[in-house]
Amino acid sequence: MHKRVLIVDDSPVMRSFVRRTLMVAGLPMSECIEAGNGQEALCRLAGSRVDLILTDINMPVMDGQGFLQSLKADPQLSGIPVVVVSTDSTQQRVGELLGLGASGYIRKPFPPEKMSEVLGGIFPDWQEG
Amino acid sequence: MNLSEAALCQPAVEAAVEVLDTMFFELPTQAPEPCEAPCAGALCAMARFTGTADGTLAVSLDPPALSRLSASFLGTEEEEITESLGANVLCEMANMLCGATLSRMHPDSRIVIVSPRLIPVSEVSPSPWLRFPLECGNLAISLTYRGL
Repeated sequence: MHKRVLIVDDSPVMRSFVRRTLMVAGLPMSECIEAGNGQEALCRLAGSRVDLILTDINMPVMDGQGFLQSLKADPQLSGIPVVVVSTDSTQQRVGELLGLGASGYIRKPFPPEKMSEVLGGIFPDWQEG
Repeated sequence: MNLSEAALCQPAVEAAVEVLDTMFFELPTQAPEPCEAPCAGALCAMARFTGTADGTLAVSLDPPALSRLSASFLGTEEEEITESLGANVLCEMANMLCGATLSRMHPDSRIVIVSPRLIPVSEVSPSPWLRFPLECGNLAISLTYRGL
């Protein structure tokens, strides 16, 4: 089944990189939408349902942690798997975000194989293309 | 503390090689060497960080190297790399280099990296740079750091 994906990062080039990595990993995507911060992402989600969210942490307006908290507090959105993609990989930070309900954590820099590994855990029926 | 000290230089070198290899599919052609400043004409981005450690990391790339690495990062042709795209890639590289270096030095601490921005090389505080020769130019980094 093709997935609808939301990528949230304040860096447009990083959003492009993540989108390309998803393609290289072989995730079948029907749509890939983007947002520059958590608040913008919540607006995007008001208009379209997605199957997967990849988000950075350090962003202006609403950071990744605030975005994750908002998602998990909304019954309509709380079930969407969220993968954090960030340079911030201290054990404390990773623990906090997984505790808030993130489904996975990818530390930048990362190879495409890491994306495949994390997505494989979220979508067990998905086979690397 | 700056890059003239091994305790900082070693993690910075490891981080630079990891970022270059993993995200830009490029490796230095020779071992890094200290230098006083980036080459003339190089573009520079700086990331500031605060928390357990405070400081700045500056990264510079010669224009040909910036075009090539940007194209690799974005999976496109060098001809398609605009000034704006190159600037964004350089800032993202500063962000990743900063995170990768600091996570080696402080794996259990809380450090926030402020969004990197482009700056003139002359605005970087005087401190040693480390230059990594690449196939089509040089990458140079400078790190000033005040930790616990």
